[in-house]
Amino acid sequence: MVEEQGREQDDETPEVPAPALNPPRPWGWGFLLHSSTFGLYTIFWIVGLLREIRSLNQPKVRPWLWFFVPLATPAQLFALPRLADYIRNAEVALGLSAWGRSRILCIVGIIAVSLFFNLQEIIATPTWLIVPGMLAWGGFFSVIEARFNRVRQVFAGDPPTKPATRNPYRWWEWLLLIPFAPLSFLVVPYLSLDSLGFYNVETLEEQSTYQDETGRFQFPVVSSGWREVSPGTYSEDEAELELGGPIEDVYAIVYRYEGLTLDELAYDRKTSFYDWLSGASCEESRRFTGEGLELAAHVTCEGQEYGMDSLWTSGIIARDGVVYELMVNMNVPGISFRNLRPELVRMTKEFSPL
Amino acid sequence: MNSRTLSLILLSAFCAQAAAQVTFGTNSASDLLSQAAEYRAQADPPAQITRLSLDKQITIEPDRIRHRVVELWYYATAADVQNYGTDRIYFNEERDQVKVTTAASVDAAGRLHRFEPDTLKLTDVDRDDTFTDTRQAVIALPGLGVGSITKLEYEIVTDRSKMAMDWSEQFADQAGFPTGHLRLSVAWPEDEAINWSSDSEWLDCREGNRSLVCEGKQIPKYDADKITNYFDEIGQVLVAEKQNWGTVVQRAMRAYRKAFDDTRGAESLLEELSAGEGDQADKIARIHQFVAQDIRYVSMSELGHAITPHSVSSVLLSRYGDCKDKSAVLQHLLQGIGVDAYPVLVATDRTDPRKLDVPSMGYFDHMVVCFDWQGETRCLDATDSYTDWRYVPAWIQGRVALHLRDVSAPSVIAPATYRWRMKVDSEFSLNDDGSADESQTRTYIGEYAGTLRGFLAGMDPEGRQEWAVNNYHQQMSDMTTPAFQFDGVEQLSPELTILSSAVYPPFVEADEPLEYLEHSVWLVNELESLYVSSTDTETEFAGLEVTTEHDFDVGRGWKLTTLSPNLDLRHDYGSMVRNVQKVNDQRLAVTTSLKIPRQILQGQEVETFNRFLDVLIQQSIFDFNGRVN
Repeated sequence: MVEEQGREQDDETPEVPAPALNPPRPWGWGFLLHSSTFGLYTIFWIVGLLREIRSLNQPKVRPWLWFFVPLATPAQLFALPRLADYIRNAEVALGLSAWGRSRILCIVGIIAVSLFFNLQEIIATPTWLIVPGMLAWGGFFSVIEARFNRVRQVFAGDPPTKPATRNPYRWWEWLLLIPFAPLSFLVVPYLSLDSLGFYNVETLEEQSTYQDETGRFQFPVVSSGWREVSPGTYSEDEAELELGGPIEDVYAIVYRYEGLTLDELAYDRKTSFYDWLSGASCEESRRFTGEGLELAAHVTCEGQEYGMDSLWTSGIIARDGVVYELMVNMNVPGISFRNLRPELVRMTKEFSPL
Repeated sequence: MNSRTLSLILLSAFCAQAAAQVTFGTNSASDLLSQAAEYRAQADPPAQITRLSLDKQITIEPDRIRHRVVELWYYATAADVQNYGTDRIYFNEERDQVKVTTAASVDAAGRLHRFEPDTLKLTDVDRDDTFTDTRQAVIALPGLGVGSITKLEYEIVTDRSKMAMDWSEQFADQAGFPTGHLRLSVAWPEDEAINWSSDSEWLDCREGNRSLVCEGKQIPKYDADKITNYFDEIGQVLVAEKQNWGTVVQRAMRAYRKAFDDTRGAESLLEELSAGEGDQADKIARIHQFVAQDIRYVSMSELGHAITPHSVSSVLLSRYGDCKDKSAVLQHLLQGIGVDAYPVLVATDRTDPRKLDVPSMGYFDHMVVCFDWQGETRCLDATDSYTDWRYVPAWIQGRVALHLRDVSAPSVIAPATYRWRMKVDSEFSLNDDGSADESQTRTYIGEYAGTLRGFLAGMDPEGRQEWAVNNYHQQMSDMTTPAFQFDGVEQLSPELTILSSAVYPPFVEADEPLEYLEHSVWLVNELESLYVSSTDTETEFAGLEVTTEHDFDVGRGWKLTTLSPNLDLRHDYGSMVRNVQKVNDQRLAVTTSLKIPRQILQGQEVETFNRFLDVLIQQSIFDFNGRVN
């Protein structure tokens, strides 16, 4: 068919330049890039793909506009069906079987994964979900790659007119792959261990009061998901107790200090929290604990860390010359932050001696 | 007043004295030498001044009362000689006759030194007691040295027909020195009835046939550090004519009413005082101010006026009088505007009415006027020229009182929940060069205003400025000398205000982060003044309420970062609540409310209570930081 069209053109019109298509590459190579680069490769890949499509007699296509498609979920609602249409048209034009209903599954899948990553900005999700999310992302775009490879294959000839290179990646793809692949396939899974409960020692009961076994302190446990984790998970192994929160990036640590007063520690915490956060605002309050004259201090600072809402709150009590501190940190997206904040503040506020 | 003097006052009692003159007997002191030798032979000499023995015999006869007193003393140190070397015999000039039988000392070498009657001094007692007209015979015993033993023996004979009050005797078991042997005996005639009671743990009292004997040995001195209300806490034997409180009230009222026999001048005065605008409260205020400030206090208990006031007319004419005189005028004027006022006797040394279990007038030494006002009993002290009528003067709050109305038993003048109240408003502004402007308003309220007014009223304007500056330098800072203004010193008003304005020279670097520390000095000053002394018995904490409002402006040079904590320190003893409000990046408002209500602390609580004050003082400091803008 291509040859016939070429002949007709030869007869009736001036010679049309051949489409500038890349030689087909096994989809697996692209899968590695899509699923390990957090969408960064996908951005450049999709612009390149649209360039190829434009060369397929689609002069109205503006590849640079597609730069934003992997990033913007709403744009995907319009762009991805169009992309599928371009591919289908190319397939039909080349006499290949057109992409069937499975394209819808692919489009929906991409949008769903995209939504998932976007939701992470406002709702905290377990880290381990990033791994399947990224794999799915890579998988869906690899499907598109594989589908368009059929078109490329037509123009590449069988066997290909250009000899296959032994290097599967271009130079800039290597630049992306070398740092991102270890990060995605080693660091992220490692970071997911906590969310998978790898460090859990004991689960705490919701709506209960945690009471130290040696009778030193207590604090309320409001929601489910709190669990005691092995020493060193969140501190440098110097804490009395470490707890993982109901969601990741929420944790609590109990410290014990000798030779430090409540005043000194409270001041130190307040100034440290203030320094750690951008746009920080801090509050501190003090009260008597129980019937006695021992004081409890409560420090809470809010601000931004790593582009997300962050809370540092600390309950400090003095007892028999020893100071105990329950320090809680939360650095999560907005909705989760607002949901959990009252609970965490209550925990430290009601941190008291037994 | 030293301990021995206090003891002698007790021994001599409030009421039982008389004598146009003091006479002396032979003063042979012949037995003193043998008594001294006997004491020295018995045991090692005491290490401190010791009353070796006191024997007091009271004989009540139909027309007179005899007090025969024999006391022996040992002086252990030179300081004892200096502090206790002069004896005093208290008596009433109108009705008592004093005869000194022996007044002599034997020194450590055994030499006898007799008191020469020519060296006797008779002086007035410098006390403001209303119901006594007491004088004192001052006997400076000769030859005193370390190791001396002295003997004083005398008799006071009281003419009962000249006694204005009922007879009563209060006999304390402990004093500021140990006593070797103490004996009190009272004998009365058949037709006489006597009431007595004893709560002494050191004296054993036995009632015989128309007689009472109380005796004790080796009685230690009281611990002055643990005594807060002497008359409430020291064991006593009380002996008095048999009567009930109704009789006491009737007798007192009978004498008191004589003030109203002549009230000339009161009507026109009343018209003057109640004229003009104002409601009933304003009229009360004007009347109170007139009696408190325009009738000066002069003790007028002599010449038959121990419990009988001078007439209202004479007091208005002379414009002076003692508490009962002024109370009578105050009551009369208040009744003139329709206020149902009545007199109330006050025992200013006593806080526990349960201790007054033998009815007698002798406990009381002051008088105020009370009335019901808006559901509460208000008591006005006509002798207090500084406290607004809406507040009971601090010094009589919680004191035992006997309402001279109907038949009443002793109660207490209701103490205020917060006797000491003040507000502090402060504005502090930092300037670009690191200097600062400060203005402060300290407002003292009620009883506190009265107390401070009394203190400041004695100063001229320059003196007040000097006092305020010194006070500011001591409490706040000596970096600057503020200008002060006083409001409410001259007139009786609920509040007294001290305003100050100051300019601080640059004290922070303008291009460095700001670290500011505020010590809440006025609040801390109040707290520090109210620590409770350690005691084994009950102690009253008078009640403190302080509110401070600080406004800080760090100016354009800095931006506020971290602030001081909010405080919510609530305890059974009281509370301190602080709210730290960041108004904007430059302004900070800090409001502190301290409330420690009046309370009675048990002995074992004092340490905890003082620790509570420690914590409040420690937490009263507040700070804030700022970064360079």
